[in-house]
Amino acid sequence: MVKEVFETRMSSKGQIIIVQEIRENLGLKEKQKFIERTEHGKIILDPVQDISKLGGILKKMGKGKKIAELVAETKEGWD
Amino acid sequence: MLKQKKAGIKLFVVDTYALFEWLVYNNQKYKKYFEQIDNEGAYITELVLMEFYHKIFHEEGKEKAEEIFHTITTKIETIKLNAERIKKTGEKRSQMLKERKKLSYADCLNLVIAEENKAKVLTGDKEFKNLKNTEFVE
Repeated sequence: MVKEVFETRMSSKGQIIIVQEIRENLGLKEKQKFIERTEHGKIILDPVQDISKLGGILKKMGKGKKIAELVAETKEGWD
Repeated sequence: MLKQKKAGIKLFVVDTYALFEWLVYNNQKYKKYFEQIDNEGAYITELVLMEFYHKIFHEEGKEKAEEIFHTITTKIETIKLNAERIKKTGEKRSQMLKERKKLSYADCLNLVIAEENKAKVLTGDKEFKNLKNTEFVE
């Protein structure tokens, strides 16, 4: 069974280790960037995705359409 | 051709066309540009963000639109409108119409932001072909 709650502690330099189980579950690798913010007293670490790894992620939107058509549909509100 | 700029200086203003080419059509000609953008950042205007968000929301729903919006705005600096940019964009559109170029307000703002930041509009939109401050991807 996967443990859902983990305890970690902050070093004197403010560093916190993300436990291996979470790293593996989320597929986090070395040099992964995060957006760090607080929300209701909690620290939120939001992994930043590389745009260069998202090629084709919206491919459904282009099904049966050429790019000129898609762009024209998107910009029609400006004309 | 890809160029390197000094650290902290962004090279591109990202157009809706370039986002579609990469995120929808997986056009590999854009991969190197988005790798550079991941490392060095870029600019995107509020108008491009608005039309891009709208299109994803309309076609794919709120969850996907929110996810892509978040990714783009954490990697790419959002440029807000101000009085100077509004006036320059209006003037740019007038200039383009006189040159028989059919550019939208969002397109003209992209050119204004590129000039302001000594950057280039990243696009393959034929209306931008041979325009200054444009990285035209064939």
